[in-house]
Amino acid sequence: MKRILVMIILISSVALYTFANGSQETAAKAATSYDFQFWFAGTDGIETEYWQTFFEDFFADKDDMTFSITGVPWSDFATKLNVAFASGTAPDLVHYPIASISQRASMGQFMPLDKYYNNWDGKEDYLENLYNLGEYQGQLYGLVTFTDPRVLVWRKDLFEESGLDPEVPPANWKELEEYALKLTKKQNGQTVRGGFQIPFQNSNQMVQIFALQNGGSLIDDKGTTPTFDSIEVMEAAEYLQNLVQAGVSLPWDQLTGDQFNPFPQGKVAMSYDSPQAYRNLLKNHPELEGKIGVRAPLSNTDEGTFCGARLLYISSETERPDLAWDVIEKAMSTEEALKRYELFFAPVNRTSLLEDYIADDPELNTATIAAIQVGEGIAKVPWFSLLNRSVSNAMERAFYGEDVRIVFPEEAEKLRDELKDFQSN
Amino acid sequence: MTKQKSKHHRLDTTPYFMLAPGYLIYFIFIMVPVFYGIYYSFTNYAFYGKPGFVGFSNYRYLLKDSLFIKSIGNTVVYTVFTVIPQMVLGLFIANALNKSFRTKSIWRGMIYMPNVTSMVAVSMIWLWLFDPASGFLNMVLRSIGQSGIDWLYNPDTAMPCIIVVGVWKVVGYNMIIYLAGLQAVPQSLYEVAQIDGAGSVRQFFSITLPLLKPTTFFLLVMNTIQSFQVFEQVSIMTNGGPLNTTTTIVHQIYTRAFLDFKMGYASSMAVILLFVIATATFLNFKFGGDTSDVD
Repeated sequence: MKRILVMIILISSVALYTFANGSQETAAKAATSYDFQFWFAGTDGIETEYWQTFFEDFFADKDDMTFSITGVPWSDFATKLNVAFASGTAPDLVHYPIASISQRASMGQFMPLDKYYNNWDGKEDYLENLYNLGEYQGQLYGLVTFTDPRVLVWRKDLFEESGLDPEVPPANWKELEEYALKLTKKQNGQTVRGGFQIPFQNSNQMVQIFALQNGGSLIDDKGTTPTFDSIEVMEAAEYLQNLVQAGVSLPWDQLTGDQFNPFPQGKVAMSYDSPQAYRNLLKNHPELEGKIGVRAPLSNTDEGTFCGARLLYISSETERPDLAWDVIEKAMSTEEALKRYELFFAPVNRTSLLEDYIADDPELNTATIAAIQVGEGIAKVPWFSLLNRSVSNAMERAFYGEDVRIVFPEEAEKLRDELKDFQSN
Repeated sequence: MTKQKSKHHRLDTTPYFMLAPGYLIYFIFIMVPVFYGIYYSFTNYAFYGKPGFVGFSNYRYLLKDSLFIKSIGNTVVYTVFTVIPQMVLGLFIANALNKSFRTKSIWRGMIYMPNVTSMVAVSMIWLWLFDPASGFLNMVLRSIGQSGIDWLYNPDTAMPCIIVVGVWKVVGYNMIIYLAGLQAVPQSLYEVAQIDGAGSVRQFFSITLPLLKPTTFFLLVMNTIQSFQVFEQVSIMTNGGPLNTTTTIVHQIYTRAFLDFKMGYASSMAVILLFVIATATFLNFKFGGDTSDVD
């Protein structure tokens, strides 16, 4: 009996201690009126430092408030956000790519920003296409801080080696094919240097780029059904299939990351890449300075490219939406846009800054702005991951020898079937 | 006499108190999620919002989900071709390192090391080794005049590559367990066998193998469970491709749950996996669980 008593006393002591500790924390929290929570995707040191300084500055005159910023690894972000919303602990403000708009907005997790945006004095200066990137079903949900468009990059040294003018990149699809074939090097019938990089797996982004340039789209205008079995998209897919089967590319999966990307290694002469990747390449390989060319995306019948972006979204669970909008306003200011450009070369997001931005690096920044103006992000539908998978599957099957005109309609039909279930379930 | 009897039968609750935390933690963190998973498998749960009851429709959809069916086949292939080699190799290496020589500790450490290394790190290393453009394996092949191989991009070689990584990672664990088993085999049996004229091969098959039966059974169960749950190297090295030749059950669960947010549907896959693993373990116990001591 004594032993049981001792056990009960012991357990009670631990419980009391825990409770007392918790009460102290609650009391401490009550002393400040609000703790503003900000989550951003990525754990990059410079970016973390930027946001830390940004919020310190913003909250400097708000003595009754505190803030906490959390950099979440890309791979964990969606899961952590899901858990946070499910448990009622979602942050006030989120910095995340376009992909999340459709899912989160349709579930009411992000707040529409139209009423704030319409009264914002910077809206006339905000780059027009950036508004489109943050819009979903007629409402604005996010404002763009970082854009990540795809531009055509090429190795001038490899152009010279293959007898091509290093200053004259291909201007259209026909020339791209000719150049790619000339630049490709084979050994024992196997490609050892590619002319143009096309990812073999997870190639949905590349299909999107070429589909847009051919006047096609992966989904319809209303965002209700997949249209990647349209003639325009299938023509684009056939073009890519012919290039891969001619051996102009080296096998690469876009999801394995840049360390396995053959272009920076000089194993491929041309590629669609982001300006950020281009800058990183020059930073890591200063010997390549002057050897990389950049131009705006090509077009076949239309202009278009992929343009990723990170936006600031206000959580619908926030108790301080006005405060969150004030943070956004500060982040969208010209000072902050310039700071981000200085720190990590983020393309500017205001028209008034374009002239200086282009003057700073005419070749790269002209191409970047041109790409942003015609760029489209990931499809803004709640089933974007199903769409990406279906497009990638179709393209992959085509790369491995199946007929584009069979596999694309097949995969699109399969997706339409699945969507019936997805929407009813 | 009566007093003595009642004292003898008095229930001592202290051990139950001592055991309670362990069971409580197990119940809260293992059993509750399992029951929740089973419950969600009958709903259209999407991580947020209220799950709606959909009966067996998730299970019905599984039957026509060609990717899930393919993932079962791939998982079985992976399991068969990893469990057997890692046990055979583990036993072979353990036997070789059970002898007395100066560098045996170094060898044991080196072979065991992959097992304590993060699978993410291991996968990244192998990803580089298998890289068609600048990977080590193709560099070697090209240096001897051969064509490189698109290891992870060829539907015929991708799964074998994943299997090689799986075997390489776990063989050290099998070796250590077998070593422990080998060291428990009484030396006297070998001495008697030697006197009777049995050679080393005969000794291995007549003494070592039968006495290692409990160890083998343990490893078979553990390796089977682990192989059915293969995910990390698939996710990092091939993401289920090319042409879905390496997608596995857990990879499908992850894709459906965390990319498509179809938690209810993913839960039904997880329940099937639970059933498959439970069946495999049951069969192992039924047909391989005779662990009687022959000493």
